[in-house]
Amino acid sequence: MQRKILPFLGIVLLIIYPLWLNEFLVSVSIITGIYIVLLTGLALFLGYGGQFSFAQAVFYGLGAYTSAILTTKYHVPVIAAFLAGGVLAGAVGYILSAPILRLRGYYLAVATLAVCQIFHVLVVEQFNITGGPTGVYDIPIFSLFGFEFKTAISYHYLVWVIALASLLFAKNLMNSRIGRALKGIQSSEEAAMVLGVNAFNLKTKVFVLTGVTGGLAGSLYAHYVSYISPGNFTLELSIWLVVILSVGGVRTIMGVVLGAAFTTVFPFLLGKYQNFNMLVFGLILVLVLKYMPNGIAGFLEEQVFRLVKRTRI
Amino acid sequence: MTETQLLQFIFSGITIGCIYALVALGFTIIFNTTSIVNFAQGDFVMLGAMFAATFKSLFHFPLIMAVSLSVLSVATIGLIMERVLIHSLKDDPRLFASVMMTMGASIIINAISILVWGADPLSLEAFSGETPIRIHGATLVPQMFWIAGGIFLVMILLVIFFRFTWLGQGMLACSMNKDAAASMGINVKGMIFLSFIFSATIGGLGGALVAPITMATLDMGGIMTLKGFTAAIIGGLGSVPGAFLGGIILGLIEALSCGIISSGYRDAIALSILVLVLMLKPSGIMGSKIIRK
Amino acid sequence: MKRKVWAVLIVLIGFGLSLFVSAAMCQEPYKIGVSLGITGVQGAAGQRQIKAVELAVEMINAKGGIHGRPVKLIVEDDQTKPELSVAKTNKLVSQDNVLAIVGGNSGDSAMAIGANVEKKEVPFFSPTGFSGTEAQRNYKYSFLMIPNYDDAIEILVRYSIDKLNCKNIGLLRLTRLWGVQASNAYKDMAKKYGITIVREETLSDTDKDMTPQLTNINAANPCAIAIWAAVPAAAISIKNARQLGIKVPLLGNPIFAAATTPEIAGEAAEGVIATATLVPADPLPRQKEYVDRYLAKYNLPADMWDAAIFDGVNLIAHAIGTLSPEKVNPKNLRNQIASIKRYEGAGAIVDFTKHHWPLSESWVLVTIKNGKAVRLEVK
Repeated sequence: MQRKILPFLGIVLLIIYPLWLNEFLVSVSIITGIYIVLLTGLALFLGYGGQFSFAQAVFYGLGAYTSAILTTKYHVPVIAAFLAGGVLAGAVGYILSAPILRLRGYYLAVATLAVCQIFHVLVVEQFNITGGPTGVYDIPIFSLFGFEFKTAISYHYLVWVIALASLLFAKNLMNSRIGRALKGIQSSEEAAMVLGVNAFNLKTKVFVLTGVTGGLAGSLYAHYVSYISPGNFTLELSIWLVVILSVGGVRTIMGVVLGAAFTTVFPFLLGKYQNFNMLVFGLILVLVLKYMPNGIAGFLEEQVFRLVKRTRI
Repeated sequence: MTETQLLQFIFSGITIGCIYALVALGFTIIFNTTSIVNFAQGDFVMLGAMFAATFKSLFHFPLIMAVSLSVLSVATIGLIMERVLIHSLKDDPRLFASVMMTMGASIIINAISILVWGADPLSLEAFSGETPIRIHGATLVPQMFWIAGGIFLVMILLVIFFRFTWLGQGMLACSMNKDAAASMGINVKGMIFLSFIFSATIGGLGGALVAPITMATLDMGGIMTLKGFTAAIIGGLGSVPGAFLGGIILGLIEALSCGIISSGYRDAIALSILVLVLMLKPSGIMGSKIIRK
Repeated sequence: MKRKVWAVLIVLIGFGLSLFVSAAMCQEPYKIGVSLGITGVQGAAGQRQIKAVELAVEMINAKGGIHGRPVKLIVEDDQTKPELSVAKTNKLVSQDNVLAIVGGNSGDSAMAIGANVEKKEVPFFSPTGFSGTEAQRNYKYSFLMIPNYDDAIEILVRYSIDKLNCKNIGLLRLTRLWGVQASNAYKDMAKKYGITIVREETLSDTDKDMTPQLTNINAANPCAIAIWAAVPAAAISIKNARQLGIKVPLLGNPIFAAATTPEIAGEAAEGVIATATLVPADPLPRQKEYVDRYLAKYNLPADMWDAAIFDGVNLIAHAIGTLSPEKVNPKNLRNQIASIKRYEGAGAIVDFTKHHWPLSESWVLVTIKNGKAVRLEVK
């Protein structure tokens, strides 16, 4: 009886804690949730596809801009625009996979880097569609069948439901046949292909997944901040997302959560000058790479595992 | 568009292309030894520029001394980077981890640089004056010849090094198969150590040479890494003539698309061509058919 | 499996608890929040601006503060990134309970913060100019301390027509928001004064060579070329122009009046014409104290953007002073600020009853002579 209560209490606590926080902390929580959605697909691609992708900011931006433009210019209901953002980003991911995913390693990295830059240029230059450098403003509040998510708390729950859904989806995916095939590719692509796994198709599917999750995250972001500009979706962000996953750990759910949390909380930890922050972050990155090859999440799991082993008789 | 205009675009492309080539050449040594792409390479160039500008424009050292000190300083930083970061990775680390390590180095270098230099850009006087050289109506700055000279010197040294010296061959062997190389008596760790110092030296020299044209700014590092990496990929990672070709080609594409098509779409055009090149020849123009990683 | 769940829960709860970091809430001082890009793309400017903000607060507190209470700054670096600036202003408003915010030293940061404070109802001062968007025009809580760049361009165009006898202007401008604004302004002036923009080209902040663009512009035979860029691209552009043998006058933007530009561009910058609100080597009487103090304290010449944010802090302090202590809150503060009729600051001259940015008379013409920017007296 006792065994069931404690985790249950823990979960209830997690669900109600935002009600105590001030608006700023809720906003940190919201952005963390958005980043979880953004990072989930990428973590799968990086950790199990074994590939660099510096294109994640593109999907983020596609989702954000699609949703923003549809709701501001064409007065499409938010929920439809939200889904459209995910679908469009996924579609672009699918189109891109043909030319790009046959490349490996550094060459794939450069190709995704190129895609990111090209996207940025297009957003800036096509100002008739995207507003150019001026961006899109007055993006409406998220509303679902008439209910408007006006308060920060309500938006927090919306975002976290979606975040948890994407984590759950990722977990189930990894436990399915597709997941096993992915793990196979990751250890040896050639061996997997001999066994009948179509690596290219698989990688495409995961890439499209990064697109869809990235797009949905972008839409959530746009409706939260109500103003987006090309400066939000840069190569720097793409690179950061890859780096933060390396620190957090690419193969676990906790890694994604840690990566998301770290991104949002970190700029506030050391106060005034951001380059002290960056220096500390550089040191953390270096230390994690040296001592925790599976990221912080992997490291924590190993420690817990060791604890368990030691306490068993 | 007149002949003169076209020529001017070409000169612009060659100028900027040589800058990219210098960065790209810096990638080759570390890559040929370790298969690592050093994401701090552009920062070596930035440091070279900042040091040279500081020594000459702020401390008023004579030019040769300023440049030499600058190259020495950057080489030292490369040395420190290797000893502290790369060397300390566990034996046989995953390539991903090593590359990320260079990214970590880049972050640290940039953070410290802001603390040291503040954020204002610095200028460096051109080595032999600013009077432009006119050829057929188009102009070229004299500093270009210093840059071109530097490139050719570095290229010749590198080609001789990799093809004809024991040390160079040893480095190449390390990247192909570490264990085989070690069993042949090659000091793999020593090779890696040296490769970082050499790449840093090339980067530092490059920075000092280009600073009169580009100014010395702290945000140079990221851009130089990106462009240099792109150029190296176009030309084929690890190939010395490839690095040079890749740089020139990238510079020319940028200048020509900027001048002839549109200055706004310039980067999009250049990178689209890059993606096309990669689709047709995934290992770059002069890259080996064996795709290492 | 059990332990794994616990481990995850512990980490997540730990994260949740760590969010309960409570700021030391001292009721005494008046708090002003700062969200500036001290590092990042506008880092150089940001570092100068934070110095100006600190100088302003120092001067205010040296005089005994406001109502006998000191002014306290809470400084956040937003790396000139719009989304980080939103997060930082959220913290300043909800966690630190500041009365007002200064910062947002880039166009889109100012827009992002502006959109945010409009919802949070906290006044916000930014050392940027009006972006031209309807949204920002209607923001009640944003106060921009740089006069409209459109007015600056109008002054340059009129100078070009009257003094240079030139009606064919070439334009080289940034791709980002600031450049787009300039482009729109020049096009408006073209309609208003009957001049022609013979060729328009763009550049990015990180470009190292502008000879292709300048070649194209030059080929269209302008009698003057306008350059609208930031450092170092602006300096490189000037050098490129001279390298190409372009002899026509160059019309610049306020960056050209800052101390660093002639230093970096060297001889090529001689004779360039621009507008600014403050020329450090040649200040107007009302600006002298600020310029001297800034130089004395920091051993650096001031420029118009840090003067702008200096004025911002002083305007906030001024407005607080006009309220009785118990009435001081962000909303009342905003109303007081919006009613200021004429204030001649170290940077610009404002009349917030007209619009939330300074008057166009704040602009002065500037030229570079002997490596220094000086005011250009025009009869």
